[in-house]
Amino acid sequence: MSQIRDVVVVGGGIVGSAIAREVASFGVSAALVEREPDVCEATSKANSGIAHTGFDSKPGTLESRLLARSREMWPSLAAELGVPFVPAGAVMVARNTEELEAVRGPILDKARENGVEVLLLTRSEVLDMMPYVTPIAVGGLHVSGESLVDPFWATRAFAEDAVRHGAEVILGDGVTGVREGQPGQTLVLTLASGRQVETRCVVNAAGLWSDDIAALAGDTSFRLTPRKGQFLLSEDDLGIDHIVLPVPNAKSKGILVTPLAIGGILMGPTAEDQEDKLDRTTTAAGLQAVLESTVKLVPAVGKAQSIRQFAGVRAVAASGDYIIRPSEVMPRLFHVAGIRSTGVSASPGIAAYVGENLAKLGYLPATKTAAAPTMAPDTTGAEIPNGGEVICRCRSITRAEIVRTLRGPLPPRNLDGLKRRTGAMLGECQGNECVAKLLRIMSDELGVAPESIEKHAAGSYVALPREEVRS
Amino acid sequence: MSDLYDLIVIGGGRSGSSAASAARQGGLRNVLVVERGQGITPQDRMNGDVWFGSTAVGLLTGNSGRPHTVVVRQAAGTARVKAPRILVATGSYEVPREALAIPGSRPSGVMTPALALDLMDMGLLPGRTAVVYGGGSRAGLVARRFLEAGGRVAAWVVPEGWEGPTPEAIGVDRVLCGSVQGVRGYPRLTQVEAGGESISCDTLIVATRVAATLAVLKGSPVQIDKTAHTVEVDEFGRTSVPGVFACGTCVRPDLEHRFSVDDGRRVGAAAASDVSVKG
Repeated sequence: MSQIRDVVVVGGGIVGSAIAREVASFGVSAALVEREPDVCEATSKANSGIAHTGFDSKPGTLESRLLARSREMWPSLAAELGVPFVPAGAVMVARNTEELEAVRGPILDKARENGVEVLLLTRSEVLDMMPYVTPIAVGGLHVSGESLVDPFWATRAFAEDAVRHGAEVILGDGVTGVREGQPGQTLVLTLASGRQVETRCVVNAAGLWSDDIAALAGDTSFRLTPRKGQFLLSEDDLGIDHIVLPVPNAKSKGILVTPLAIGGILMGPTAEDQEDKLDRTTTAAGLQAVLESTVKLVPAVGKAQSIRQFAGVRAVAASGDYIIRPSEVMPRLFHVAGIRSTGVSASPGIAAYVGENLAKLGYLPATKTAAAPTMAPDTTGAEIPNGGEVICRCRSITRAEIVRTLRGPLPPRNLDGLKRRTGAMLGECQGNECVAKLLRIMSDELGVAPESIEKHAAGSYVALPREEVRS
Repeated sequence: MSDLYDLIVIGGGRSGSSAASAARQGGLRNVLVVERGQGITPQDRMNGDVWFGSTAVGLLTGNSGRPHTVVVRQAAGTARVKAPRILVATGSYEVPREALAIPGSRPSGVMTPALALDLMDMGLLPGRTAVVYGGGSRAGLVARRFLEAGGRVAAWVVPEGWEGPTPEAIGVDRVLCGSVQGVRGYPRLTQVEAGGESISCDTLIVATRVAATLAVLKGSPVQIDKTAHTVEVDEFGRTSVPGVFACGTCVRPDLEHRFSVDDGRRVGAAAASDVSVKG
């Protein structure tokens, strides 16, 4: 424990990664600690991939303020970070007069109160704009600012930019303890590996597990409830060019159909409260519910071929709003919790807001130093031998693309990390035709045995050496 | 122009190589086969140009009688080759668990025979105890290889009405009729729900069916059957684009490839004799 950090962020989801980038850009000593072997491994990886305007958020909440701030930031931020961002726009489709009343009344009022530009559409305007929408539509609400963003790419871009600004990213090592270090001066985090990290301030951005991190410090001021959402992914885009929203109910924004920033369409999510934060299983009933709901909005999705099904779990706080404040038990522990389903959308605004708060509390300088990145943004200049060989046929991903990714600022250590960075294994064969080749390339580049490379979490081995099986 | 061929066959498997020989016999002299793999298949009787280790990644169709262009990626870079006739014989891939929408967790250890066999060819084992799902010859092959490599096959799940050897004869623990309904375990597979039972295993090999490989046609005007997800052809193997033909399992997916050789011969001959194609 030679070094005392200024700020350590716990949690490598999109919110933690955005905060790490923000903090590092102040030129202080920063680190990001993530339990899983890669960033973007929980709520951030399984969601609808929408940078949401917050048109339907509760006015006056911190969530609505930070969504408002974020929607101004996203277009230029995405361009700066090179993250796929498509201002596709959304249409909330009313399918009967009751729904139309809700759209014209409370939903329109709320959008205006939130300062989001919206436009009421007649039935023929809805169908002209989106011929794929159900012919029983009676009207709708156009929200032009709703955009598509790739959450994997955005999370990684935040984390990589933090690395370029000098932050250390510690992967595969979760926090198991938080205690006072030098009284009134520092905190000490104990990691699963036994490593101790001393820091002036800890940002608790552990997503679904932020209440558990708080509890490690003896702070039980909030509890989070996991809510599961199941999705279906299809490569057929069916001409869908807008986000198609149902009129929401009390529990959920409802099950939507959205194009993806990287191509294809996504249908979901369900909203299922559960006990287990790790339960990301899909169920026949859940997937059926997704199809039944979305067919009512876009009839053609019934014929779309789904290449993948998955579920994500989001964190719901009883208060219904974000919890962004210092811990009352341990003031150097700063909570960023209860981000519900709006983490992707609000991450830029949350990061900026947390930066301002940490500056006020004296953990960061009053102004950003705008320190120049310490690493080049791109190390792709080197010639890769046999680089033109197509490794992933479904997506035409070449050896050069794989190798450059493995030499990047935040190289993946497992197959899912490589998948999210390159798009390999994302096509119709789901990696079955190229995983063996990828294991060989990763083994060569990372200097590890092929059988030591896992799929995602620790223990997700892909292959075993033969001797081990025989014995 | 040296890169102008009479016919370019995309794929050198059963149907592609049969089609190439039939087209040569039918009088086409400059026939190029573009093949992704490194070796030659036993069925191959080709003696003309074959590019191995070459993946066709795009088809740019020529307008009003101009030749078509195939974009080919190779280790050394990208090549563009042209011909008035293109024959798509890209074959099929084994559909993964995701395409069958088997619900449950998302652990490692769930794969198709393609990956299981690749891992064993690397001297590795896909797992210790497998459930093999599917009644065809690939399922049988992968079960046999898995056993030979020192693994155990806890169950071979086959369709109702399946007829075959006894479990003892194959060396698997049991043969179970039915379908796989669920997958459990995380981060590694621990159980498979099949035929109303829960079977402990760390590996599930899904070998139930194949689907057409259509990646090279993405963005091209060649018509795809939206329901069957195959290339649309007439009785002569002609697609919606003049001069572009297709045959084999990208037209008629079949786990056992029963039609591929005959289909290749028929369509290869048709491509050679189609007088509507000039050049």
